[in-house]
Amino acid sequence: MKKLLFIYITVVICGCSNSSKKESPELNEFIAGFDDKPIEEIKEEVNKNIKQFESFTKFFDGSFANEIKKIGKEDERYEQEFKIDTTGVSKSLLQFDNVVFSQEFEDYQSSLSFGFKNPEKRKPLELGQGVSQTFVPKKIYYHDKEVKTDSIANYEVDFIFSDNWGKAKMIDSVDVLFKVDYLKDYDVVEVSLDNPVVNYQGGEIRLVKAQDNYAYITLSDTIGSATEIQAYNEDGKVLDNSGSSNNGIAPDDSEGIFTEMLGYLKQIQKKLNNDDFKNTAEFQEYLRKNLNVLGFFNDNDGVYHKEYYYYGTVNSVKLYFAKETDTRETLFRAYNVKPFISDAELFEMNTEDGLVFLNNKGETEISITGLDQGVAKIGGDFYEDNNYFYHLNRSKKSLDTLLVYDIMTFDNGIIGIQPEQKDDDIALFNSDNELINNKKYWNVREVGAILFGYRNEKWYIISAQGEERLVSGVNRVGDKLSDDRILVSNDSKYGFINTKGAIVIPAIYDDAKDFEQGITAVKIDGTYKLIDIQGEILLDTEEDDINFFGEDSDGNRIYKFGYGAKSYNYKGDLIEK
Amino acid sequence: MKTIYSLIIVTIVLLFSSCTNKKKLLLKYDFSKANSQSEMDSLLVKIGKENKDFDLDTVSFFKLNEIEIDGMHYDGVPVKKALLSDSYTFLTTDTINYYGKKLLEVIEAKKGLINSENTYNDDIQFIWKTEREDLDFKLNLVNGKHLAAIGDKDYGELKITFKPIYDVPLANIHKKIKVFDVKPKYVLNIRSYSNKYTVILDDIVIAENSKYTEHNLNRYITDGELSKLKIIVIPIDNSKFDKNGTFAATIYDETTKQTITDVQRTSIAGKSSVEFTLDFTPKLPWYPKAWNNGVNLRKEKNLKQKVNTLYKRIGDAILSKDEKAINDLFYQKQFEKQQLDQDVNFETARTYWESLKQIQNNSYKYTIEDNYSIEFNANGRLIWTYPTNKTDMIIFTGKEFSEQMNFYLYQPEGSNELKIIR
Amino acid sequence: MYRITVLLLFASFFSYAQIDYKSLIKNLEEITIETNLNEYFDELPSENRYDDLVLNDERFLRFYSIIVDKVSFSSGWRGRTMTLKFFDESRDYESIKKILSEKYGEPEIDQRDNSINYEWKVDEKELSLNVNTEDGVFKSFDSLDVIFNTK
Repeated sequence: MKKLLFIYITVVICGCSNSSKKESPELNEFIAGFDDKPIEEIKEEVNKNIKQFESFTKFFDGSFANEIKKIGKEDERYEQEFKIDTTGVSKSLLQFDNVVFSQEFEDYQSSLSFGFKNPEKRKPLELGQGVSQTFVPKKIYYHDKEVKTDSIANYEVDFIFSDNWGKAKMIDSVDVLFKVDYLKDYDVVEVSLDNPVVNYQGGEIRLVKAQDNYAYITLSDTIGSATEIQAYNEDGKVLDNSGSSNNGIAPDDSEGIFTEMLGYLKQIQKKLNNDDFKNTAEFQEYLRKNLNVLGFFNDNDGVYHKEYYYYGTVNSVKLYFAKETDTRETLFRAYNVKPFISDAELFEMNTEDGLVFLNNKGETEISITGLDQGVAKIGGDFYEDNNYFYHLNRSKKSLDTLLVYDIMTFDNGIIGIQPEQKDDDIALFNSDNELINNKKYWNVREVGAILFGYRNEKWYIISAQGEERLVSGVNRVGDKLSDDRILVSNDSKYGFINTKGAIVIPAIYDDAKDFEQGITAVKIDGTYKLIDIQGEILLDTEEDDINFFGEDSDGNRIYKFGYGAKSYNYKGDLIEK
Repeated sequence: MKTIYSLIIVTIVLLFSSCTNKKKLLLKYDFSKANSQSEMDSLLVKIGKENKDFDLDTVSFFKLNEIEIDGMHYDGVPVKKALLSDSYTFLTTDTINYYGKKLLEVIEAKKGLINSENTYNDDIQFIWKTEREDLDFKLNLVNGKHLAAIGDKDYGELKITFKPIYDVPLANIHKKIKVFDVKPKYVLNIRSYSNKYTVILDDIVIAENSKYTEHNLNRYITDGELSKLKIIVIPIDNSKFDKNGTFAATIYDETTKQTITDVQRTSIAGKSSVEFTLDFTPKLPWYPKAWNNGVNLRKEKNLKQKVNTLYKRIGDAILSKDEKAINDLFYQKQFEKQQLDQDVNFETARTYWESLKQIQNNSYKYTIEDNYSIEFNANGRLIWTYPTNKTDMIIFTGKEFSEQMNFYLYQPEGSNELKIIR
Repeated sequence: MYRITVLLLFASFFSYAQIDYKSLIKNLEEITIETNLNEYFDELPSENRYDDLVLNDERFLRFYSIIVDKVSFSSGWRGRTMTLKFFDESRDYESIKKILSEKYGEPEIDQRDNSINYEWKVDEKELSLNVNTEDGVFKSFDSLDVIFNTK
């Protein structure tokens, strides 16, 4: 993990471009990362990481070590010409009503990674060119009622990775501001072999060199950065970009970012191995003084240098500068994906000294030292790592190893355990690892927040205390809870129960689907009908065949019957063709 | 005279070999000489030492080195590029001089001719699998058309993967198997529609109320005496047979496809159970020790305790990963089964051992059934136990892992303990 | 001296331990209904697919000197059938037509839009050559089936 961080940081530094001030913030962050590390550990890490870094750079030989070459017409690759595409903007503002995050603790810090409650949606919509999206956290609601609004704006709302969100304390929810900035108007500046210099905004844009697939452009410091830069071949087609580098210094001055960086790291390695630094602070001071000297941190010529490589022969380059932008925003609330079952719940945190369990105020309640491998919470007081299951024994303040086949957790706090093998019946336990009833179930399933158990060919609803309520006359239970209705069936007929297990719509239908927005389709007396949640028939479609549901542009259900002969919208209105 | 004659021969031979060995002098690193992953790693170290400017990584945990150095070859065929990881080696020849063809021929000379793989493109692929290594060779056609018209630019890619070496005898049974001129494989085949069958061979219940219609009989044969096979048929729903119900069965030798004995198609309509017998004299070139010297266990007073002791031995051996103890428990059963089939395939024993290793690596506890019924076979010498509560006699449990076992047991004369025999 | 000679000869032979590919070539026109296929193809790798014997290494298969891509043998109610697949070379097509016509006389020709079928019938066997055409010109081989009649 730390190794990756090292490489990641070095790559970040190399990739940073226009921030050409004396003490760049990236450099400071990098140096600050060493704050609490003993010098011996730094030495060991640098020695190990340099080898990895070297082989790492070899993989990037292709994209960073671009070369000028002639690309024939038949090998050229093109892309779309820049144009403002704001079609997704309105839709993008509506996509955040079901955002959740999962929170983990490590070394007294929280990290959050975001996602959508609907597992099919992985990340926010990608928007077209000229549009940028930002997330700004506004409020953190901690479980112990603390609300934090200051110094949180820089926390990342990341839908792929997890990011640091400050102190280790359970968060119930966060308020996030979502902003979309899009170009309303822009300037186009074109430089070409015939016309290589253009004046713009009091500065100069110059096409210094265009050769085969390569274009080298300089922009005066005073000009803002371009939103988009595209190259054209002689036929006017937009060429696809294959690589680029942005530097504070001219290309010929640097050997290649990685070679220079590597050379520098090797110097540091030599000094470390020579024990030239007495302690970490001296090492950091050395870094601060010397890394600044490196080319890309030191830019005095007042010009940005941009090099581009394309899949084709460059004839001209167009730069698009934002002239007028507009912003739309919306505020949404994201919830912790693990609902809190009780205030007594504890949350695990891996630290250097061992495993620590925090209460919801972020205070350490139990500390177990000597564990060198992290565990993850399954639910309640049950944990697991790659090899074993554990139960947190609060009185003994230790982790008891549970030698069982599998453990499953449910939202209402009940835990199911199979003691020996895959086909075992499931026994139910509470958070203290005590049996909640003495029954064994062939199958246990949660539908919505209701726990169902199947034994002796009967279905029961199981409460958090282990009390059973028989769902009579039913031998199959559906897996979706909507509009307080769950689809059930006996041998051949379908009906619906409510969340208390009472049969509110009797099993008289030959076919039925789940409810959505108060309506569903059922088949009785030969044809499909739409009914409401009381079971009242709203209309008869007069069709005997149902197709898979469709979806309208807002994601609402469309009912299709008779191989597309008739379609109804989610409200039950016939859709005209 | 003799001396001059010899001198001429020597000169000719020397000239001949020096012409062709000129290239060989430049070939320093022979990948075909490595017989194990550690020998390949040593070769990598040697290459690294003699080519310091290449700076190979011989230290990292998941190392991957890509080398293009002069002098690399596979048994005389120059190799242009080598990719070495700590679990496989990937060699590529140059696209000149028929090197792809030469590499194929050199491997075929070592490993023999085999069928090519079915690929979805024009590449030609051969995979040789032996106990020590897998060689996966691909001939990429550049200017060639097919194997009988290979072009000089066609290049070869060879992936060498070494297999782990197992010392335990259980994994090396194929080395002890004797092959005979005849290889009978007796199979019982039942032709009847959807019923349940109990098959008893020489007082051993091979199957009880099972739907399987094909049974391998070799493993229950212990001598060349007359064997009696009895089949009890009952309807699948325990009532009466269908009015069109018929039954037929054959014992045949799968190797020669000859029928040994059979029961012709017979109507069984309306009955609630039927019994058939087939007698045959198995003629095997080798008979196992099996349970021939087993004591009559009906007289054994502490039988249940002994069964429990045996399964506890199995459980402890697996959990403690005691190779010798595991070998002692299963060797006779596996050897006799493999010898009866005259199976010399090295994968049989290795696969069985690897499945046992999987149980050893993944289990953290075992539980033994304590409520079971005992069935006496072969005049009381062979027992099978039917668990009542559990799915089998011993269950191994790990994190989201489980495995189960049950065996035929006997007690050899002179011993006080039960042994696994089938 | 003598020992060194032997050693050197031995060594030079050893370094050329190679397969004699040429000696393994099978001329499939030799096969008759009586040929013991297992013995005939003993040294070559082969496969049994659903009771058919299949060989597909073109290095070792020839039919009147024409390279054969794949050969398979099946036993049906009519006797033994040998099915040959060739590589799609039009000069091979011309050669096969010429050789079989010379040996077995004029064939019965069934010409369709996209295929042509040639049939030769003699006492011991029947040969059926099927090719695919495009605009009347040879495009590819389908197969050559040789059916050996049982006596």
